[in-house]
Amino acid sequence: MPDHSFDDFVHAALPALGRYAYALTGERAAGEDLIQDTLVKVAGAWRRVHRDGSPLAYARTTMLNTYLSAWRIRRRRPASVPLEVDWPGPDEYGPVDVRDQLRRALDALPRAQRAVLVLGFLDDLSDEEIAGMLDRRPATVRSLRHRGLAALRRQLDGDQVEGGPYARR
Amino acid sequence: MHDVERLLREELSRRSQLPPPSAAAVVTAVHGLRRRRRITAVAALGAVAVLVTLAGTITALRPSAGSLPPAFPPPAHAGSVSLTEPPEIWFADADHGFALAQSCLADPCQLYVAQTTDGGASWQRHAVPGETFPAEQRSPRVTLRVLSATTLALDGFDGDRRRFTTDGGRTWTEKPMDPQGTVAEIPDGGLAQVRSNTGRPIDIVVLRPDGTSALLATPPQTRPLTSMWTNVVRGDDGSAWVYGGDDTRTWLWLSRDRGRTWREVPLPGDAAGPHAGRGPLLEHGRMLYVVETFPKRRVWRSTDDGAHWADLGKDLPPDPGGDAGLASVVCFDGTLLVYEPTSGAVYRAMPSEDKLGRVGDAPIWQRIGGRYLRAAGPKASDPPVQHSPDGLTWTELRL
Repeated sequence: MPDHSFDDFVHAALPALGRYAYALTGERAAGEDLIQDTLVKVAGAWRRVHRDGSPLAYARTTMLNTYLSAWRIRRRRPASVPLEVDWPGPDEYGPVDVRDQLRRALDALPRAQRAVLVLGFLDDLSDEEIAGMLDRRPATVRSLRHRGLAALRRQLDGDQVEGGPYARR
Repeated sequence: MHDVERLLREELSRRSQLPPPSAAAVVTAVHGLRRRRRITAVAALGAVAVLVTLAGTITALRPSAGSLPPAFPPPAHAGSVSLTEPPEIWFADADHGFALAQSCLADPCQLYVAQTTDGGASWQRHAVPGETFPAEQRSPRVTLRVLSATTLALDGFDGDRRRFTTDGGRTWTEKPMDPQGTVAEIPDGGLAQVRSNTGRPIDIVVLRPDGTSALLATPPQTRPLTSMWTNVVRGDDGSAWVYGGDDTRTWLWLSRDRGRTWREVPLPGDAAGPHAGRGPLLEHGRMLYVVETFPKRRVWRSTDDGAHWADLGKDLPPDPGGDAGLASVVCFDGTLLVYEPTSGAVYRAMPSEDKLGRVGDAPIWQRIGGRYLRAAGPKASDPPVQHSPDGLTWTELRL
């Protein structure tokens, strides 16, 4: 009799995994790629994972590792960069689009910092829980979160004061 | 000033509410991908099998006089044991050191401790019994804590286990990690760590030379720790330093009597503010440095336990955004080296000099106890790693 337990798991876990994948990548296509890569790995270890009884936790950790290791691989490849970063122009009629700036600043963070912020601010996980999932020390998690928030703050506050990055050119 | 944390929560919440893809489509894609990868793997294995057969045939046809098989199989394939990533290496002195290593020929990976007694010229590898981890985890979840030339502890990240050796890794025992009782001071050959307590001042947990732990009877009376380091830094002169902070400020405490009494050390510039970033450089013990990168680049030195601080960094190129950062290391003699990544320049302040001066363009290194370590790959963090007793002559670390 064929074992459909993995397929059932995918149906049940997809909303939770999708939530993380989109929060981490910030894009639908990249998020779906991350979900797929994660599930391929989970499927490879399914018998053991299913027997151990916590496949969702395993899948979530696998997703984080996949996300972080993809960063390592991507670092060695040439990255395509637009000729001109399309920051919004100076807004003479009102405040700059803070949300847009935050999104860009978040996407520009190193992946480890972004992962710590997602785990901490999306699900309110403790430093110890995040450290366990990312295989880092709690002190490292605290440092990554501090640096990530500082970078976001710098970007937002700096842009507000100086009229945005467009104004610096 | 924006409420970044609230904005971040909103943005992540917005992202996470995107509708997930169709489950049926994902299941189909996952099974299809697995099938394709299996076919590729089988093809690759077939090719390897053909090559092995060919190689065996060629070897059998070659004359074999004088090529006797070894009396014993080697204990582990030399190439199969490699340093962990990131490397975990510590030298108790210039000659005696340890490195964590792993072999992932099979899943799970086996953890090794490599020991050197000749300044890193040669290394002996010892498997740590029972210490394995899944290959996909990529690195072991233990902290290397070197107490002396022959004694070390491996503490699990989860605080659930401690493996302990007093003969350089040949034999191991298990020790409890929970502190038992109190000690009046950090003993010679012991280490210490900060333990934060929710809503209460910190504790200092002492790792004794016999591998057991105890609470220090007189920890510094701090506010509850909410950030930064967890190690008690041991200066070369035997001093003990605790650095940390809460949401209102950053503090530094010093003990010169092995933890019996503590006094607070004033920090310069913005280093005393909340979440002050990188901690001071304390390894020398008598010469303290603080390297600030934001909002302004400043490098401070104190030689009187923080009573006075001198700014040495006036000639550093400015970095208004604070994005580039600065790397720094204190040498054994108290000389400070600062690496400026934008220009690739190295600046130096010797103990007798009152400002940093540019001395070269090479990336600098870090201290790992009794030696220096640097990565010599194409990027600053890439292997191979090299170690040095003086920063002048470097030896590649080969297990």
